[in-house]
Amino acid sequence: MLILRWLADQALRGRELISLALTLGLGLWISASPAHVQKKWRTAWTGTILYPVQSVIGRMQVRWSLENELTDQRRANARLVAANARLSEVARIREDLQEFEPVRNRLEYAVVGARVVTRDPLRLGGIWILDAGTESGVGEGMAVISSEGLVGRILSSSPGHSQMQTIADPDCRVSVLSARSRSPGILHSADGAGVFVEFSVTSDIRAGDSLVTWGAGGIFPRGLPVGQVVEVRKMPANVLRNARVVPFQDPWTVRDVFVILRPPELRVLPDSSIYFQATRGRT
Amino acid sequence: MNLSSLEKHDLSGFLGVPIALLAQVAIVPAASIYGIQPSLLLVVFVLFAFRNGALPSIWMGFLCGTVLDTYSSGTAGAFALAMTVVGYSVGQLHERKIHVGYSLRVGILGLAVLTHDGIWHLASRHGASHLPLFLLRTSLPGALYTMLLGAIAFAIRPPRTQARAW
Repeated sequence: MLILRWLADQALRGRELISLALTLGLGLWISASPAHVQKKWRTAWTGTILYPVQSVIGRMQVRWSLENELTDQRRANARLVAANARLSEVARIREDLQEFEPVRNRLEYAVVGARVVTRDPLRLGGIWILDAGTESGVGEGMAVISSEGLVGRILSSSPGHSQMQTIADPDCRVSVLSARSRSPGILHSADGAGVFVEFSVTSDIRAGDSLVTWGAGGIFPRGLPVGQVVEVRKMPANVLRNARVVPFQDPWTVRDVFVILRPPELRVLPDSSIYFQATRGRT
Repeated sequence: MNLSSLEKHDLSGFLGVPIALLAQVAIVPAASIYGIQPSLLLVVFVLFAFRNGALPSIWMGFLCGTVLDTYSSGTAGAFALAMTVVGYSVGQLHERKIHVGYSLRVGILGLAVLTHDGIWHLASRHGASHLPLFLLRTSLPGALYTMLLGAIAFAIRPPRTQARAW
């Protein structure tokens, strides 16, 4: 066994020596060759054995450069998509402004544009946040409209943002008139979902009537479009009637609004403490 | 050489040396300090020789040297000779036969660099009279830099066997 192992070691060692002799011989032969032989050897070596390696490396480099280029193109594409979205938004705002232009010409007061930043996604009513605040002149009690109609009123304003109460908020009441008969009613929302107008049995309000703001209370200017009566319902007591109203401005779709820069007028009854007191000094 | 005998060797080492050869050309020039470059190829090659012995190291050295010769402008065959001799010499210290300590391995790496450069210098017919100056001025700084690199590499890849030390 030991003899076999010794023989194997010798064979391995012999293989090493043969390999060493072979490689050293080749190396010496190449290095001792004339220059033109070395050139031929280099050309042959490069063109045959090393060519596949160079080809693979070259293809890998091409692939890497293409991947880098693809990454750059994707980044550029993302930037363009973002720019496109921004420009589309600007175009949409411009369209809204153009739609609002005839309305603004009819208004007696200055307006300032604002964007709805947040709102309740589950119901129509509630408090919305607008991106215009005191720096734009927005103040408490100001009416908020769109090119379609009344949207709500400002509850409070701060630098950079303001809170708006929609007409579909359960705590909001708006005095309205039928544009046809001038009969008054009170617009309200019981659950923040639907909008209703409540009026006396003597008031002449029918389905299909357009409602506008009355101006009573001094919060909303007179004549702002509010909505259309779609269904009149009798109440059990037969004293008041209730009608379902579809607002002209769909609260789900409004994004840009306009705040009428008009402080609420004083309409304070002697025994009331809940009305606005914007005209300070006159009380 | 069948598969089982290949498995006895460090297969990653067979790929590591050519990769180190590419890195030596592509990356190492960026690590140059005052014109002194380490030889990453020799670090990996010496590690390979420690791990795989003389026979694979002879052929690996010859092949890598031949590739270097092909792309160098000097005398063809000089790198092949130098790498072959280094491979054979260091391969005698195969870690399955002899355990070489960490500091000795780093020292052998330095000697390998000097041997490699010396053989290359002579094979390139630059003259034996200039050899000491060449080794002192050009080869020695590179050898020290390479030893520094090798000290890190050998610390990361210690010997796999615990053969008896000298």
